[in-house]
Amino acid sequence: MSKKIILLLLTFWCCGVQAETYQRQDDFLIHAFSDSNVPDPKILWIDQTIKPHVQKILQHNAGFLRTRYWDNGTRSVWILDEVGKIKLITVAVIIEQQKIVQLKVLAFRESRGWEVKHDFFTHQFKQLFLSDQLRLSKNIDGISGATLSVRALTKIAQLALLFDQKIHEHP
Amino acid sequence: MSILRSKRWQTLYKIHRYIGLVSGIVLLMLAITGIILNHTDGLKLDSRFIQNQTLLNWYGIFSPTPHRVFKTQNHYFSQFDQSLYFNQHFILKTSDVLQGAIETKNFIALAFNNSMVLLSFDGEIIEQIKKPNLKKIGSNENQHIFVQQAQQILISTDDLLSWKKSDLTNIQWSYASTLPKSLEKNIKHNFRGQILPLERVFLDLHSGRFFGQLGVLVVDICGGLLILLVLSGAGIWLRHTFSRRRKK
Repeated sequence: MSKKIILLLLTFWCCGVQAETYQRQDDFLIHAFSDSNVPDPKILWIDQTIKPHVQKILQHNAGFLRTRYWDNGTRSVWILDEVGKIKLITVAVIIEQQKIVQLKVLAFRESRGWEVKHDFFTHQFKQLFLSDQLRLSKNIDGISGATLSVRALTKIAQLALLFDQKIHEHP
Repeated sequence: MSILRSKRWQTLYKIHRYIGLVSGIVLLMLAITGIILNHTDGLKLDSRFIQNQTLLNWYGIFSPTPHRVFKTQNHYFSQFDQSLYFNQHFILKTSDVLQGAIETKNFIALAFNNSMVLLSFDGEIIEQIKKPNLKKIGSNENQHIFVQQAQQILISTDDLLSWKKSDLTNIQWSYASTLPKSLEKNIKHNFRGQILPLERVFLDLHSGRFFGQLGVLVVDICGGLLILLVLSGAGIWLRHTFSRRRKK
C-alpha cells in the first residue's frame, strides 16, 4: 500500500517538474485535418496593421515577425508559444468560422501549472470567439496555482482568433 | 532585597535597549528589502540586471569564452553559454547549440541542433522553428537553404516553409569562425550585465547571504535577539502593569 502511495506521489511529482511533450505537431495536424490531407503551411506576417493588437493581447512584444498556419479553407490551425512564468508553453488551436473548435497543449515546460493541459480546462475554450475589445466571448475559469499558465493559454486563444480574423479579412 | 531586584530590572532595561539598538540596524535592512521584494513584479526586479562591475565581481560572475562562433558575409553570431549574440547585441537565450549561420538576400538563417531561427538584418527574430538533429547549414548561389539533418541533406526553396531531400553538392556550408578581440570584449561586458537580476541582490541582502556565511549568521543572531527583545519588552510591560495596579 505504502509503495503504491509513494509511486503515486512520485508520478505527481514527475508531472510537476518535468518538461513534457504531450503531442507532436505533425500528429496534431493529422488529427486536426482528419488524417487525410494536411495542407501546406502558410505564413502570416505580423505587419503594422496587426502588431498593436498582438501587443495588446500579449502585453509585450510578440518576439516574432511571422507565424505559420495550416488552412484548408474551412478550418485553420495555429501552433503558438507563450511564456507561462519563465518557460514556453506550446499550444495548438483549431478555428472554424472564427470560433475555437479545439485548444490543446502540445508541450508544457514550466514546473507548475501543468493542470491546464487537461481537457476539463481546455474544453472551456470551445466555441469562443473574439469580441471587438479583443477579449474572449466568455471568461475562462482559472485554476489555483496555475494562474500564469491559464493567462498564457488565454492569450494564445485570443491571438489565434485574431490571426484567423486577419487571414479571412477581405482585401 | 528590593535594591537587588531593582538592579535586576535596570539590567533588563539596559539589555532591552541595547538589543533594540543592535538588532534595529539589521531590522531596518530586513524591513526595507522586505518591502521592496513584496513589489518584485511592479518594480520589475526580476528583469532588471546589475551592470555594476564591482557588484558582479563580488558575486564572482565572469564571462566565459564563446563556445560557438559563425560568420556570415556581414555579421558575427556567437554563443556564450545559453546566450546568443548578433554582433555585440544579445538576441535570445537557448539551450540549443548553434551549428551555423547563413545570410540570404531576404534574411539570416541560424541553425541550432534542435531548431532554426530566422532573423532580419537588424537582428529582429522573424520566426523560430523546431527542427531536430541539425548538424549544419549552408546555401548555394541560388539562395536556396540547405541543412544537414542527421545523415540527410534537406533543401528549402520557399524561405524555410517546407523541406525536401537534396542530392546537390555545390553547397557552401557555414563553418566555425573566431571573434575579433574587440567584439569579444564588448560581448563579454554585455554578457555579465545579463546575469544577475536585481531581485537576487535584494533576496541575498534580505537573508544576509550577500555578505556570505557571516551575513547569514548575523541575521540569525538578530532573529534570536528579536525574540529576546520581545520577551524582555513583555517582561517590562508586565512589571509596569502590575506595579501600577499595586499603587492603585
